[in-house]
Amino acid sequence: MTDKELIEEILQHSSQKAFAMLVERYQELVVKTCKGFTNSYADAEDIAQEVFIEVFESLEGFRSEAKLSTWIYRIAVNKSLNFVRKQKRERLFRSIEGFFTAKNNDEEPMQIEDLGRNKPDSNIERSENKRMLKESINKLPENQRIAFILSKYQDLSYKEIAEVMEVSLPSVESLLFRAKTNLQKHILSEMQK
Amino acid sequence: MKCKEANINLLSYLDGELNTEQHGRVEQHLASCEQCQGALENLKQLYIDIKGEKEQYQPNPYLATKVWDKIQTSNQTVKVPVIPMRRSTIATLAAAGIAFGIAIGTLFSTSLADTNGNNHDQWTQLANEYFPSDVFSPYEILDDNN
Repeated sequence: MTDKELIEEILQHSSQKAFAMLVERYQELVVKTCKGFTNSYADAEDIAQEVFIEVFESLEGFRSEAKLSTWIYRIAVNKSLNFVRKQKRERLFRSIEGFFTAKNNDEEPMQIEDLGRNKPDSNIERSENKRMLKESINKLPENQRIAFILSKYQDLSYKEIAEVMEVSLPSVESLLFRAKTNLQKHILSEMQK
Repeated sequence: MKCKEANINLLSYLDGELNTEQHGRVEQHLASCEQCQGALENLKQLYIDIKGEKEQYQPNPYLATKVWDKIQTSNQTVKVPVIPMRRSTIATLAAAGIAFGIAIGTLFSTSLADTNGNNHDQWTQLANEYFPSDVFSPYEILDDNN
Protein backbone atom coordinates (compact mmCIF):
# COMPACT_ATOMS: atom_id res chain seq x y z
CA MET A 1 0.00 0.00 0.00
CA THR A 2 1.39 3.43 -0.86
CA ASP A 3 1.40 6.35 1.57
CA LYS A 4 -1.43 7.98 -0.35
CA GLU A 5 -3.59 4.85 -0.17
CA LEU A 6 -2.87 4.52 3.55
CA ILE A 7 -3.91 8.12 4.17
CA GLU A 8 -7.15 7.66 2.20
CA GLU A 9 -7.94 4.48 4.08
CA ILE A 10 -7.38 6.19 7.45
CA LEU A 11 -9.35 9.29 6.49
CA GLN A 12 -12.31 7.51 4.90
CA HIS A 13 -12.69 4.50 7.18
CA SER A 14 -10.71 5.45 10.31
CA SER A 15 -9.00 2.13 9.71
CA GLN A 16 -6.93 0.93 12.64
CA LYS A 17 -5.11 -1.50 10.39
CA ALA A 18 -4.05 1.23 7.97
CA PHE A 19 -2.97 3.44 10.85
CA ALA A 20 -0.92 0.60 12.37
CA MET A 21 0.80 0.17 9.00
CA LEU A 22 1.61 3.86 8.89
CA VAL A 23 3.04 3.78 12.43
CA GLU A 24 5.08 0.70 11.60
CA ARG A 25 6.43 2.33 8.45
CA TYR A 26 7.53 5.56 10.13
CA GLN A 27 8.24 4.41 13.68
CA GLU A 28 12.00 4.14 13.23
CA LEU A 29 12.25 7.52 11.55
CA VAL A 30 10.28 9.22 14.33
CA VAL A 31 11.85 7.48 17.33
CA LYS A 32 15.43 7.96 16.08
CA THR A 33 14.80 11.63 15.32
CA CYS A 34 13.33 12.18 18.79
CA LYS A 35 16.25 10.30 20.33
CA GLY A 36 18.61 12.90 18.86
CA PHE A 37 16.97 15.52 21.07
CA THR A 38 16.54 13.44 24.22
CA ASN A 39 18.71 11.30 26.45
CA SER A 40 16.73 8.06 26.46
CA TYR A 41 14.73 5.86 24.14
CA ALA A 42 11.91 5.85 26.71
CA ASP A 43 11.53 9.63 26.32
CA ALA A 44 11.89 9.33 22.55
CA GLU A 45 9.06 6.77 22.48
CA ASP A 46 6.81 8.97 24.60
CA ILE A 47 7.34 11.81 22.13
CA ALA A 48 6.79 9.39 19.24
CA GLN A 49 3.33 8.58 20.62
CA GLU A 50 2.46 12.28 20.63
CA VAL A 51 3.83 12.60 17.10
CA PHE A 52 1.56 9.83 15.76
CA ILE A 53 -1.47 11.21 17.60
CA GLU A 54 -0.79 14.56 15.93
CA VAL A 55 -0.32 12.80 12.58
CA PHE A 56 -3.71 11.11 12.97
CA GLU A 57 -5.47 14.27 14.05
CA SER A 58 -3.94 16.49 11.36
CA LEU A 59 -3.94 14.01 8.50
CA GLU A 60 -6.90 15.76 6.90
CA GLY A 61 -4.90 18.98 6.63
CA PHE A 62 -1.85 17.26 5.15
CA ARG A 63 -1.03 18.74 1.76
CA SER A 64 0.15 16.06 -0.61
CA GLU A 65 2.64 18.35 -2.34
CA ALA A 66 5.09 17.63 0.49
CA LYS A 67 6.32 14.09 1.09
CA LEU A 68 4.61 12.37 4.01
CA SER A 69 8.01 11.66 5.59
CA THR A 70 8.98 15.35 5.39
CA TRP A 71 5.73 16.30 7.13
CA ILE A 72 6.24 13.66 9.83
CA TYR A 73 9.83 14.83 10.36
CA ARG A 74 8.55 18.36 11.01
CA ILE A 75 6.05 17.14 13.58
CA ALA A 76 8.71 14.98 15.26
CA VAL A 77 11.17 17.90 15.45
CA ASN A 78 8.52 20.26 16.87
CA LYS A 79 7.31 17.77 19.45
CA SER A 80 10.90 16.99 20.50
CA LEU A 81 11.73 20.68 20.90
CA ASN A 82 8.57 21.18 22.98
CA PHE A 83 9.58 18.24 25.15
CA VAL A 84 13.08 19.63 25.69
CA ARG A 85 11.71 23.10 26.54
CA LYS A 86 9.22 21.58 28.99
CA GLN A 87 12.01 19.59 30.63
CA LYS A 88 14.13 22.74 30.96
CA ARG A 89 11.23 24.61 32.57
CA GLU A 90 10.61 21.76 34.99
CA ARG A 91 14.30 21.62 35.91
CA LEU A 92 14.25 25.37 36.57
CA PHE A 93 11.18 25.10 38.80
CA ARG A 94 12.70 22.17 40.66
CA SER A 95 15.92 24.08 41.28
CA ILE A 96 13.97 27.12 42.56
CA GLU A 97 11.86 24.87 44.75
CA GLY A 98 14.99 23.07 45.92
CA PHE A 99 16.61 26.36 46.82
CA PHE A 100 13.74 27.31 49.14
CA THR A 101 13.13 23.87 50.63
CA ALA A 102 16.83 23.36 51.28
CA LYS A 103 16.85 26.56 53.34
CA ASN A 104 13.95 25.46 55.51
CA ASN A 105 14.92 21.86 55.70
CA ASP A 106 16.65 20.95 58.95
CA GLU A 107 16.70 17.24 58.23
CA GLU A 108 19.90 15.31 57.91
CA PRO A 109 21.18 15.23 54.35
CA MET A 110 20.27 12.01 52.57
CA GLN A 111 23.12 9.58 52.11
CA ILE A 112 23.49 8.79 48.46
CA GLU A 113 25.13 5.55 47.63
CA ASP A 114 27.99 5.87 45.24
CA LEU A 115 26.78 3.52 42.55
CA GLY A 116 29.90 3.94 40.51
CA ARG A 117 32.33 2.82 43.19
CA ASN A 118 32.54 -0.76 42.00
CA LYS A 119 32.79 0.09 38.36
CA PRO A 120 36.14 0.33 36.68
CA ASP A 121 37.32 3.92 36.25
CA SER A 122 37.33 3.61 32.49
CA ASN A 123 33.59 2.92 32.50
CA ILE A 124 32.85 6.02 34.56
CA GLU A 125 35.10 8.08 32.37
CA ARG A 126 33.45 6.64 29.30
CA SER A 127 29.90 7.44 30.42
CA GLU A 128 31.01 10.90 31.58
CA ASN A 129 32.50 11.49 28.16
CA LYS A 130 29.30 10.30 26.50
CA ARG A 131 27.24 12.68 28.65
CA MET A 132 29.54 15.56 27.75
CA LEU A 133 29.25 14.83 24.04
CA LYS A 134 25.45 14.66 24.23
CA GLU A 135 25.40 17.87 26.24
CA SER A 136 27.46 19.62 23.59
CA ILE A 137 24.77 18.75 21.01
CA ASN A 138 22.01 19.96 23.34
CA LYS A 139 23.82 23.27 23.83
CA LEU A 140 23.73 24.10 20.13
CA PRO A 141 21.32 26.85 19.07
CA GLU A 142 17.97 25.35 18.06
CA ASN A 143 18.29 25.54 14.24
CA GLN A 144 21.86 24.24 14.26
CA ARG A 145 20.80 21.39 16.53
CA ILE A 146 17.91 20.42 14.24
CA ALA A 147 20.16 20.47 11.17
CA PHE A 148 22.88 18.45 12.92
CA ILE A 149 20.47 15.83 14.29
CA LEU A 150 18.71 15.38 10.95
CA SER A 151 22.09 15.04 9.28
CA LYS A 152 23.73 12.66 11.74
CA TYR A 153 20.83 10.71 13.27
CA GLN A 154 18.86 10.40 10.05
CA ASP A 155 21.59 10.74 7.44
CA LEU A 156 19.40 13.16 5.53
CA SER A 157 20.92 15.00 2.60
CA TYR A 158 21.26 18.80 2.68
CA LYS A 159 18.30 19.01 0.28
CA GLU A 160 16.09 16.87 2.52
CA ILE A 161 17.08 18.89 5.60
CA ALA A 162 16.22 22.08 3.71
CA GLU A 163 12.76 20.66 2.93
CA VAL A 164 12.08 19.61 6.51
CA MET A 165 13.28 22.91 7.96
CA GLU A 166 11.74 24.95 5.15
CA VAL A 167 14.96 26.88 4.56
CA SER A 168 17.26 27.28 1.57
CA LEU A 169 20.12 24.92 0.73
CA PRO A 170 22.85 27.50 1.52
CA SER A 171 21.15 28.06 4.90
CA VAL A 172 21.48 24.35 5.69
CA GLU A 173 25.16 24.40 4.68
CA SER A 174 25.73 27.40 6.91
CA LEU A 175 23.77 25.89 9.83
CA LEU A 176 25.72 22.64 9.64
CA PHE A 177 29.07 24.41 9.35
CA ARG A 178 28.27 26.54 12.41
CA ALA A 179 26.93 23.53 14.29
CA LYS A 180 30.18 21.64 13.72
CA THR A 181 32.31 24.64 14.67
CA ASN A 182 30.35 25.13 17.91
CA LEU A 183 30.48 21.43 18.73
CA GLN A 184 34.24 21.36 18.24
CA LYS A 185 34.68 24.46 20.41
CA HIS A 186 32.57 23.00 23.20
CA ILE A 187 34.21 19.59 23.13
CA LEU A 188 37.71 21.05 23.03
CA SER A 189 37.00 23.43 25.92
CA GLU A 190 35.58 20.54 27.94
CA MET A 191 38.72 18.52 27.22
CA GLN A 192 40.91 21.31 28.53
CA LYS A 193 39.04 21.50 31.88
CA MET B 1 48.47 25.27 9.75
CA LYS B 2 47.89 26.29 13.36
CA CYS B 3 45.84 24.37 15.95
CA LYS B 4 42.98 26.88 15.81
CA GLU B 5 42.50 26.45 12.08
CA ALA B 6 42.87 22.68 12.30
CA ASN B 7 40.31 22.47 15.13
CA ILE B 8 37.66 24.33 13.16
CA ASN B 9 37.96 21.81 10.35
CA LEU B 10 38.14 18.56 12.30
CA LEU B 11 34.48 17.47 11.94
CA SER B 12 34.45 18.44 8.26
CA TYR B 13 37.68 16.43 7.96
CA LEU B 14 35.92 13.41 9.47
CA ASP B 15 32.93 13.94 7.19
CA GLY B 16 35.23 14.06 4.15
CA GLU B 17 33.91 17.49 3.25
CA LEU B 18 37.26 19.26 2.89
CA ASN B 19 38.85 19.84 -0.48
CA THR B 20 42.09 17.99 -1.26
CA GLU B 21 44.32 20.89 -0.26
CA GLN B 22 42.57 21.52 3.09
CA HIS B 23 42.44 17.79 3.80
CA GLY B 24 46.19 17.48 3.20
CA ARG B 25 46.98 20.45 5.44
CA VAL B 26 44.85 19.11 8.32
CA GLU B 27 46.51 15.71 7.98
CA GLN B 28 49.95 17.28 7.99
CA HIS B 29 49.10 19.24 11.14
CA LEU B 30 47.63 16.18 12.86
CA ALA B 31 50.79 14.20 12.21
CA SER B 32 52.80 16.65 14.31
CA CYS B 33 50.28 17.81 16.95
CA GLU B 34 49.32 15.48 19.80
CA GLN B 35 46.72 17.86 21.21
CA CYS B 36 44.79 18.00 17.93
CA GLN B 37 45.07 14.22 17.63
CA GLY B 38 43.35 13.99 21.03
CA ALA B 39 40.67 16.42 19.89
CA LEU B 40 40.10 14.36 16.75
CA GLU B 41 39.71 11.21 18.86
CA ASN B 42 37.02 12.91 20.93
CA LEU B 43 35.15 14.06 17.87
CA LYS B 44 35.42 10.58 16.40
CA GLN B 45 33.91 9.34 19.65
CA LEU B 46 30.95 11.66 19.15
CA TYR B 47 30.19 9.97 15.84
CA ILE B 48 30.73 6.52 17.35
CA ASP B 49 28.26 7.40 20.14
CA ILE B 50 25.64 8.59 17.66
CA LYS B 51 26.11 5.39 15.66
CA GLY B 52 25.79 3.37 18.88
CA GLU B 53 22.59 5.18 19.81
CA LYS B 54 21.11 4.46 16.40
CA GLU B 55 22.05 0.78 16.67
CA GLN B 56 20.38 0.52 20.08
CA TYR B 57 17.01 1.24 18.50
CA GLN B 58 14.46 -1.53 18.76
CA PRO B 59 11.02 -1.14 17.25
CA ASN B 60 8.17 -1.32 19.75
CA PRO B 61 5.55 -3.72 18.35
CA TYR B 62 2.91 -2.19 20.64
CA LEU B 63 3.45 1.44 19.70
CA ALA B 64 0.64 1.55 17.12
CA THR B 65 -1.83 -0.08 19.53
CA LYS B 66 -0.84 2.31 22.34
CA VAL B 67 -1.31 5.34 20.12
CA TRP B 68 -4.62 4.01 18.75
CA ASP B 69 -5.92 3.42 22.28
CA LYS B 70 -4.97 6.95 23.29
CA ILE B 71 -6.76 8.38 20.26
CA GLN B 72 -9.90 6.37 21.04
CA THR B 73 -9.80 7.39 24.73
CA SER B 74 -9.42 11.06 23.90
CA ASN B 75 -12.38 10.78 21.48
CA GLN B 76 -14.54 9.23 24.20
CA THR B 77 -13.65 11.82 26.83
CA VAL B 78 -16.69 13.97 27.55
CA LYS B 79 -15.83 17.52 26.73
CA VAL B 80 -17.29 20.03 29.16
CA PRO B 81 -18.94 22.76 27.13
CA VAL B 82 -17.46 26.18 27.71
CA ILE B 83 -20.22 28.67 28.37
CA PRO B 84 -19.36 32.00 26.80
CA MET B 85 -19.70 34.87 29.25
CA ARG B 86 -20.68 38.42 28.48
CA ARG B 87 -18.23 41.22 29.25
CA SER B 88 -20.62 42.70 31.82
CA THR B 89 -20.77 39.33 33.65
CA ILE B 90 -16.97 39.09 33.70
CA ALA B 91 -16.70 42.67 35.03
CA THR B 92 -19.32 41.99 37.75
CA LEU B 93 -17.53 38.79 38.79
CA ALA B 94 -14.17 40.58 38.90
CA ALA B 95 -15.64 43.42 41.02
CA ALA B 96 -17.25 40.92 43.37
CA GLY B 97 -13.93 39.08 43.68
CA ILE B 98 -12.02 42.25 44.50
CA ALA B 99 -14.68 43.31 47.07
CA PHE B 100 -14.54 39.87 48.66
CA GLY B 101 -10.74 40.05 48.79
CA ILE B 102 -10.82 43.47 50.47
CA ALA B 103 -13.42 42.28 53.01
CA ILE B 104 -11.37 39.20 53.91
CA GLY B 105 -8.18 41.29 54.08
CA THR B 106 -9.78 43.88 56.39
CA LEU B 107 -11.24 41.23 58.66
CA PHE B 108 -7.93 39.42 58.88
CA SER B 109 -5.87 42.53 59.61
CA THR B 110 -8.37 43.66 62.31
CA SER B 111 -8.23 40.33 64.08
CA LEU B 112 -4.43 40.39 63.89
CA ALA B 113 -4.29 43.91 65.31
CA ASP B 114 -6.60 42.81 68.12
CA THR B 115 -4.47 39.87 69.07
CA ASN B 116 -1.24 41.89 69.00
CA GLY B 117 -2.40 45.10 70.65
CA ASN B 118 -4.67 43.82 73.41
CA ASN B 119 -2.55 40.88 74.45
CA HIS B 120 -1.24 42.60 77.54
CA ASP B 121 -4.71 43.71 78.66
CA GLN B 122 -6.21 40.29 78.11
CA TRP B 123 -3.49 38.57 80.11
CA THR B 124 -3.72 41.11 82.91
CA GLN B 125 -7.45 40.59 83.08
CA LEU B 126 -7.02 36.82 83.12
CA ALA B 127 -4.32 37.05 85.80
CA ASN B 128 -6.50 39.27 87.94
CA GLU B 129 -9.34 36.77 87.67
CA TYR B 130 -7.19 33.82 88.70
CA PHE B 131 -4.96 35.66 91.17
CA PRO B 132 -7.22 38.32 92.69
CA SER B 133 -4.66 39.60 95.20
CA ASP B 134 -2.28 42.43 94.41
CA VAL B 135 0.62 40.27 95.56
CA PHE B 136 1.12 38.41 92.27
CA SER B 137 1.13 39.73 88.77
CA PRO B 138 2.91 37.66 86.13
CA TYR B 139 3.69 40.77 84.11
CA GLU B 140 5.37 42.50 87.00
CA ILE B 141 7.65 39.52 87.58
CA LEU B 142 8.50 39.43 83.95
CA ASP B 143 9.15 43.14 83.89
CA ASP B 144 11.44 42.90 86.93
CA ASN B 145 13.49 40.11 85.40
CA ASN B 146 13.91 41.96 82.17
